[in-house]
Amino acid sequence: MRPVKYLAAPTWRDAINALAKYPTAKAIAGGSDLLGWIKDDITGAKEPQWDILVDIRTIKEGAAIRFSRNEGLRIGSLATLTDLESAKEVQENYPLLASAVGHPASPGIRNVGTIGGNINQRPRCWYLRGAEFDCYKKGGDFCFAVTGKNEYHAILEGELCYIVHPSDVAPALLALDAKAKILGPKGEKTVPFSEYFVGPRVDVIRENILQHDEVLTEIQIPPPVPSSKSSFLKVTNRGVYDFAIVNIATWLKLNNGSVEDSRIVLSGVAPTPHRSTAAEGVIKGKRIDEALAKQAADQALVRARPMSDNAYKVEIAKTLIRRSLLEAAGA
Amino acid sequence: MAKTKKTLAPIHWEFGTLRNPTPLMLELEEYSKELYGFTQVERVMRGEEAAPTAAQQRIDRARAEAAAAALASTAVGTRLPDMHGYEKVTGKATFPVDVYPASGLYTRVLRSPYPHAKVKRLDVSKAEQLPGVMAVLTPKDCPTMDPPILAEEPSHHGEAVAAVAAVDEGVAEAALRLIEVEYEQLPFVLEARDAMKPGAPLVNSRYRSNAPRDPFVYKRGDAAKGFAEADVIVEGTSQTAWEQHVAMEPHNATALWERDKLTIWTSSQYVHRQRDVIADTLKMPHSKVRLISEYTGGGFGDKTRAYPYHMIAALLAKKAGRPVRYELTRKDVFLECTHNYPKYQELRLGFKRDGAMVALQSRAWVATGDSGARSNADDFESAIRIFKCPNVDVIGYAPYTNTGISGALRTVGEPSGNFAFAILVDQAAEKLNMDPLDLYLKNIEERVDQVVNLPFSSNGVRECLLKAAEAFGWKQKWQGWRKQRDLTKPQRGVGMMAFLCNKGAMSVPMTAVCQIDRDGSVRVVQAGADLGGGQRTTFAMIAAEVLGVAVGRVTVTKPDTEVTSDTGIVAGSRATKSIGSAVKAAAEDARAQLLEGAALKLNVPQSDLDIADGVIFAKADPSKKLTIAEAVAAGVVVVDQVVLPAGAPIIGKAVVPAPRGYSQKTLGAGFFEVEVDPGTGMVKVLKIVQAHDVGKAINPLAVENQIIGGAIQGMGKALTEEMIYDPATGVVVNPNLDDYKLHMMATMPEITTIAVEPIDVLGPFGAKGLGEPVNIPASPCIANAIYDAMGVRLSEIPMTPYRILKAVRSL
Repeated sequence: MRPVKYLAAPTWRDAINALAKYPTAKAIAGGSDLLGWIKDDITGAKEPQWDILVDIRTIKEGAAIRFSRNEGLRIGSLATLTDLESAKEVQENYPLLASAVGHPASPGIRNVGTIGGNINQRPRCWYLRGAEFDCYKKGGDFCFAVTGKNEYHAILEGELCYIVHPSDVAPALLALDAKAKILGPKGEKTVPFSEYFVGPRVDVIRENILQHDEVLTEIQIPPPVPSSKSSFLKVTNRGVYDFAIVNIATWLKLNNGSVEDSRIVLSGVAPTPHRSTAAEGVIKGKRIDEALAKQAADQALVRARPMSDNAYKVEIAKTLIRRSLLEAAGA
Repeated sequence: MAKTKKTLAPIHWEFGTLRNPTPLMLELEEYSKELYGFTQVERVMRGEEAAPTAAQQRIDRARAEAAAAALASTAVGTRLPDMHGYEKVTGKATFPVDVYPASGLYTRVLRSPYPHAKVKRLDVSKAEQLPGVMAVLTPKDCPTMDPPILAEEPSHHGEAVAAVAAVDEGVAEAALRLIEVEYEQLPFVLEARDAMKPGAPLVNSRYRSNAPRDPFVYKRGDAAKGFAEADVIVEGTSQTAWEQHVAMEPHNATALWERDKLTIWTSSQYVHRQRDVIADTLKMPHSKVRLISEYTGGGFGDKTRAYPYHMIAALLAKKAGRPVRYELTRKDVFLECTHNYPKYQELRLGFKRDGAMVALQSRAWVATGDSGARSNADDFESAIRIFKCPNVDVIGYAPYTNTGISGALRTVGEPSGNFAFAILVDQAAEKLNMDPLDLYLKNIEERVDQVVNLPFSSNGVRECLLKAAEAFGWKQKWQGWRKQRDLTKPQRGVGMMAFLCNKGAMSVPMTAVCQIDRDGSVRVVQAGADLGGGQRTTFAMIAAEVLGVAVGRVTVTKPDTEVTSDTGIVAGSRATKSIGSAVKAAAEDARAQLLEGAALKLNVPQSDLDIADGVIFAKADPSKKLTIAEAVAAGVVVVDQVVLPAGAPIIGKAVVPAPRGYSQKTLGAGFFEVEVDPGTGMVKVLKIVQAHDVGKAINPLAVENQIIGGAIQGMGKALTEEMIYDPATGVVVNPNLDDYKLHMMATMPEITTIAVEPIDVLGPFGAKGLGEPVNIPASPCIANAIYDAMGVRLSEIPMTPYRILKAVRSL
């Protein structure tokens, strides 16, 4: 690994000051993605050699988890996935989140990996992560997935670049209508996660709205909705300790057994967590059964444009939509 | 009436003559033959080796069975934990990767980003000037080796181009970025069949063609006639993947020069072979190069040869005048060290209606990478002995390709060849409407190896099949050949196979020293590495058994070329049998010397003495006894027929020749149950039963561990592991353990292991090797079980959700 300078930030303000001051500085929490990124020497015209690490684990209260019936859940972005998985208020009020945070990687990694890091982690595309490939995302002028091995690449919303969003937690947050609290030099702002992620059609270099000197400090989830149901499912190659080929977070609000409101979000299929409004449209006002779930699944993938090796993902996504609707609805 | 001697059709067996061989290619050829026992085929072809007479075979078997039956129950046959297990799990064991010499430097290597290129310009001046950089190595600093230590024409992605030694890894990495290289990219070819096409790019300009040798050919009988007579013919293609060993300890070399003497600590399966090649390359006497591998954190066939990285560490250390440590990153390991190459095979089998196999035809291609010359046979000869079959026609091609160098991974061609064979046997069973178990039982050849016409030293394949089937509950679980399957929800299926693996023969050198110290404790001096299979514990148990002492009284030396001579390699499923035989013979020599002194002291004939629990006693009168320590003190030497006190520890030694007259193979059977989800392509392995012919289990606990480990590795190869070359650029896209997916403990099913003990007539106490065959059953068993569950035949591994859904949904 290349030598790096280390700065410990006592407060969020110190962290953003350091980031603002050094263009090659990067905030580090668990480091389970960033350290591998640096070790793999992933650099390019638009991907600096990060050589200053601003430690944010040193920030007091950064990992706090607070819950109230009125305000809902407030999660410090430095809370580890294990913290969340074992937090009573999460297990009792947000089973969807409790399930999602138990899925990434291994227990050892979840012990150090934070929710902020999981949301902001970089895509796993092996061309992006291969030092030999100067792709669009690093400032190059080609997407090697188009001519290469694209078994794990996007089937929806790809353009120029065909990464998929790797997070298990992000789709759950979208399904729970969560918001991101962002701190920058100009102060604080709160943005719904539905506006947080950025796809290659908007900007091929970045995956979210965070500027270099901004940090995600808190995740806010509205109070639990009575009579809501949810499901989290994930398919991986290996079965455990693996990134999703496809995952899905489904949230339903039922009224007398019919769907009053829903949010169906998949990762692993598109450059950003993909909310399937198409599927949601199919089930709105209806009672979920096998046929409706299948119809929603088919509708959700109508716009899928698989590449040479990843048509199988369309099948998996359909299966997961169908199963998660049935599971959530208890049908 | 005079008996007519039955003569066998002459063997048609061609390794394929080397074209324009380099000395190293010839050496590899010899090495490979020695390693994999081909010499037996050649000896038989030349009439130099023949089967023992029937009477002799009976004597050999009786002797072996008597030796196994006479075992005391204190050592051999008991379940002993690894003698170094405590050190390993507590982190106290010093693996080579843990060696940090004082003032040692760290290495990083610049590797070619292209699969084939010429280095037009290499400027290291800026790197040399970086503070903290102590030496930079370029091709002109390097002696000749094949593959080159540093390449001027790299011909696979990741071939080393330059190397840096610096005060820490960070500085060394920074220095790599200061090296200016100008490459001229050259055309490349990745696939074996493409490499053989006319007009294919030449893999490297140092070759005249991509085919280093003529194809391997093996024929017996008349295949065309066999197929003409067959009632049922099945045929198919199969494709396996580029696979990595992923030993837990990454490859490493730490080099230290003391004037004209070089010491290298390296994680090794065979320090002596590596020492010889390193010394020869550096033009140094072998005795001036010392290799040490106290512990070896896994090998699987990847740590037997001298690599460029050994030379890089040695040359950098020489140039810098300081010790140099090179611990390869996982990416370095993927790119520099060997991998098991993909095999594409077209196979055709013919059967009579009663199930008897009458013809086998195989054409196979393997991509061997850009250097070395494999002896072709081990790639292509698998599955030509297990079934009685009069008509066999096998041709195999092994061209160079612009991919990393290839090597053994728990054998060379056995998992891939058995995959091709066993998935076709399953299809044949369906066509014949037979239980596949019955098809195996009908066809297995148990007595004579049909290639060399020699009796098997042991062949327990029938017992493996029957015991494993019983433990698995095959007769209950296998529901016959289904016509309909429900593809709307997860389905269970079962699959089985049996194999004969062409590995496990004893081969020279087989030497050992067994020393009994003055206090009666025992030291076995040998150089076999313990790769995790518990080899050293096995050797200690063998010596303890012979000498009648507790296993705890025995220590076993670790690989160090300065401590021992070459006692034999740990590879090819042979350590227990080869080195174990030498250890047994050395211990017997020590025992004889011990009893010689004891006999004098007790005034009892030597033949009347026995040893138990460390005490030597007269069998007729156990009150006449001596401790082993007292017997050592009573040791004598005879000079000019005068008996003199030796006053020395007892030194037993053995140099064991390779036995002749028997075919030594490893055999076994596997039964798997899986659940396949047709909606996601996920396969869950639910149950594994593997039975192996181990001859005689020296340490049943180690046998169990070996089978479990192999089953797990086999699951990885079957379901997830695949090293992927980007077709457009020739670059490996997944040289890491995130994208190269090993299987994990968390998905392990119930695994039942069965040791079948038919007693090998040659091995120590009837034992034989078990290193490699343990990972053969997984892929074909899982493929057959997927068929049972889903009704689709998968012929390509790994069987990922991608490939399964492709087959199930016809995508």
